Amino acid sequence: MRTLLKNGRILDPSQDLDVIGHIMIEDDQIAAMGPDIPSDDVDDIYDCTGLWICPGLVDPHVHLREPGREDEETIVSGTQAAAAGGFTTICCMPNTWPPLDNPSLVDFILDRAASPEAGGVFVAPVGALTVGMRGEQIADLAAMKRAGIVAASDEEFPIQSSFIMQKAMETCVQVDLPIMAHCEDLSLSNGGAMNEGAMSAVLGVKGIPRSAEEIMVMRNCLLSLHTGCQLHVMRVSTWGAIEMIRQAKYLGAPVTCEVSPQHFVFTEEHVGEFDTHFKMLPPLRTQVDIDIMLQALQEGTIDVISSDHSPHASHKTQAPFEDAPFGQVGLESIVGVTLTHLTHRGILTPLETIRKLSTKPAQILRLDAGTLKPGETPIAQITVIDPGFEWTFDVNKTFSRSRNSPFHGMTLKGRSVLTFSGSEIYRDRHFSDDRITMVT
Amino acid sequence: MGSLVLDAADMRRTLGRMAHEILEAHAGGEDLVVVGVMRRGWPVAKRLAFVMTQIEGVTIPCGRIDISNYRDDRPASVTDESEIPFQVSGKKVILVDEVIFTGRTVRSALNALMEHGRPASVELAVLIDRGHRELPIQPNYCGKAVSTERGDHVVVKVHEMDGEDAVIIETGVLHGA
Amino acid sequence: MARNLLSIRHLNPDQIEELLTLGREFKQWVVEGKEIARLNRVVGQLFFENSTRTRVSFEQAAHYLGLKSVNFSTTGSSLKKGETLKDTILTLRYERLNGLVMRHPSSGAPALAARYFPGPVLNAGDGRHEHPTQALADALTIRERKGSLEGLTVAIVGDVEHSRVARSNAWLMAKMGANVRFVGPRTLMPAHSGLLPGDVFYDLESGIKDADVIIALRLQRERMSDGLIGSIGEYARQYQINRDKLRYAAPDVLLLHPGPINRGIELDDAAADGEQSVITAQVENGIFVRMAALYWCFYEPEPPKPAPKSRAKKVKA
Repeated sequence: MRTLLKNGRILDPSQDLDVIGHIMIEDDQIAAMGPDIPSDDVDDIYDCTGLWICPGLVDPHVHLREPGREDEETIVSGTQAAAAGGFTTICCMPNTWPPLDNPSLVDFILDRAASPEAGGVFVAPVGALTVGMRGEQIADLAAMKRAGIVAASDEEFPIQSSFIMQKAMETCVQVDLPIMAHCEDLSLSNGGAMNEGAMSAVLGVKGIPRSAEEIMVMRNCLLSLHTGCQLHVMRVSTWGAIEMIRQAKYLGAPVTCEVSPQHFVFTEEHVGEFDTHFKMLPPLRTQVDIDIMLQALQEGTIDVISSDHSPHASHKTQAPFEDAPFGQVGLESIVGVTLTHLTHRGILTPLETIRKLSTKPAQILRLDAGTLKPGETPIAQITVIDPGFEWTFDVNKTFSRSRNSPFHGMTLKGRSVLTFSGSEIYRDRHFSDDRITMVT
Repeated sequence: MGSLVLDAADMRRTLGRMAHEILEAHAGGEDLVVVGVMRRGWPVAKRLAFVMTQIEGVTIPCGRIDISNYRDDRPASVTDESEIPFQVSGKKVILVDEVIFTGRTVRSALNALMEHGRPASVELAVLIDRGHRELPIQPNYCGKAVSTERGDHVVVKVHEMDGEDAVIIETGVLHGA
Repeated sequence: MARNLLSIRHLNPDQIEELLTLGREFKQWVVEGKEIARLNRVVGQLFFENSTRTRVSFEQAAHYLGLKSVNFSTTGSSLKKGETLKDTILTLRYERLNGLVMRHPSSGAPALAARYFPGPVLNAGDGRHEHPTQALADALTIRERKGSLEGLTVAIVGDVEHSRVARSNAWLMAKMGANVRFVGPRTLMPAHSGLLPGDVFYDLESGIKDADVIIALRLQRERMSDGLIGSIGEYARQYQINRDKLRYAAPDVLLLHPGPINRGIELDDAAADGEQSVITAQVENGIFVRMAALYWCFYEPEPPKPAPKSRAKKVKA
């Protein structure tokens, strides 16, 4: 079985490659790539003229909710959403119920993700850093690593004690695991629901000060510097936090960070009249933060763009603002939003866009992904993006089981249209049949 | 060729029912652990444990036990692939195999299990009981009992190993015939 | 066509004028014992937070308007059984209630309720957000004595950060042409007050200097255990309105307090019972502005817009 992706713009950040060319997939492997490759004995030809051919996208920050909240998302629906969004590898967060703090659960999740009804994408679980994510006792990270976790995190329950965090980092150096940290000083955020600013003052909503995030970013960066533990800061939102990370990188700390699209698209003003779809953690900040964030994306201080896909049941989002949960679904909108707001506005080149969506997260978490080099990934992982396609994001037409998205109804330019993981796992209906030739 | 006993959906329903039975008998998941007999008992055990985890909201840990060194019908192998990442002593162990036939596998598994500790109790759960016991061993929880001829093969397929979920009976010829 | 009263922030000066004029009319009629047309509707009093004062005031207002008021207190109801707010509102909708008066500890909850309820929803206080009818009562009280709000200096003193009364009053006074000042310790002030209509003062003397109106806010005792103020005594020494401090204000200053008063903390007895104090008038006017609010919500003037006064008389006739 030979499939040819013909005449696309090949973007492979792992080789700094940006050329027009073809890719040959033989069985489930990339066999050849380049502007001029032999194309005899081909079974299927996909005409990719005008489209980008990229390594399969990698999302290091996804909540699959299973086990515990199967009404909001399951491993099956979440991986299908990922495939539709152009992802071939996603990392699932440990804040399930029960939390992902032991090897048996890691095993369960890997099995479910590999089941035939799932979306066909690789799921790389992130284990809990402490037992029950209670921030007290370090979980059995070595056993979980053997079972398959790629990083450790306490996600929404950030470790408050600096002592425990230091011990956790030392343990992670020992077992060679990166830590993914959500940075929040809970004593400062203490029940807050949105950015502490002019909007929270008007709405009378308890605010989360920016220092709640920045203090923890600073602490974690310093602990990372002194223990040598690889630290990935999840979803930064303030200019101060970005400055801390810039400084930590300058000092040589093994620190990377990510940002989620909502934080460079929306500000606190989008909360408007208590719209719970704009309740995020960390909260939406201000235009100043966005400006610095765009700069940091451009110069590389921000390494990764992740969706922070956080499905919530609609009865939870149809609640008073302060009682509603934080977060949004994002797997199926992130490509469109990123291209619309960053690439097409000239903030990131196409190659840098793909680097932040694929190659860089794969390198940070040491995944066999994020490259088109033949043989570097276990099976061919390819995403084809139509950068010029204009569409309106309709959250009701997504694979996710939840409908909480601030991007609903937005006009986006750019969309993933084909996803390959070994074989074709998703083909968008906008990838017209005329582009496919079956040679029989 | 063979006749289909359970398809993937049947298998999911059957395991769901067994999970509820086990939790009911033990009034919850406290101190419960699951150990699957390698090879195909293990994936069945994992699914059973996961369903129970989903129902109870506490992790029901799952391990696997390699009985190749304990069999009375085959030479011992060199490697032991058992992995039980938790304490067995004092726990209520649910031993899981995909099919119970003569009962010899279970006997070997019990021997192997005892080397890992002293459980508070051991119960047996099997997906298929095909009869023809040679030892006084009965499952506590059974997915489906099917009547077979001695020479038949009951094949349990799991997607982790076989790419699909199904239970099939292949009619065989009698040994020596 | 019904409308909601969710906040003062969203009203324009004409609408505020309509409400205050209606309030004055109703007061006249009630005082003179005139008969008022019965509205013949059922209003649910939905209090997710205890507030005897506001509830009694709304019930009185409903009584004068001939509205039937149904109590839906949260203790012992399904709200304690984990029902979502949306489901509660939908239930009341299909219990065929015509309007809702709602108090909720969460900012913005009445706005959410209004999405699922077709009739008018009146905010009787939501979290730290707004308490529109209290501000209307205060404005009516001030107007009765000063004639107009235009050009007055209004100082709002105390725990501004946590006060819905402060927010509603600030919007109302500013929209009607008054100069608003927020006065209080930094820990009880919003960290960013840029979008709020008023100037911020951190010491009482300069904050109330030459003020025509002082609105003292209630200080919750929890603020001390939350670490926001040193001690009650310390707070009282710096921010209590008493006879000495009143000398900084204009000679004919009016002193308001939304109640309940912590005597000896926000106000001393001399100030609370003094000639500048209009606190009891505020309570009484609360009934009339709530009548106005209920009436205004049920009867939106249709274009061409007749004056609320003439419409009210037409109904009466």
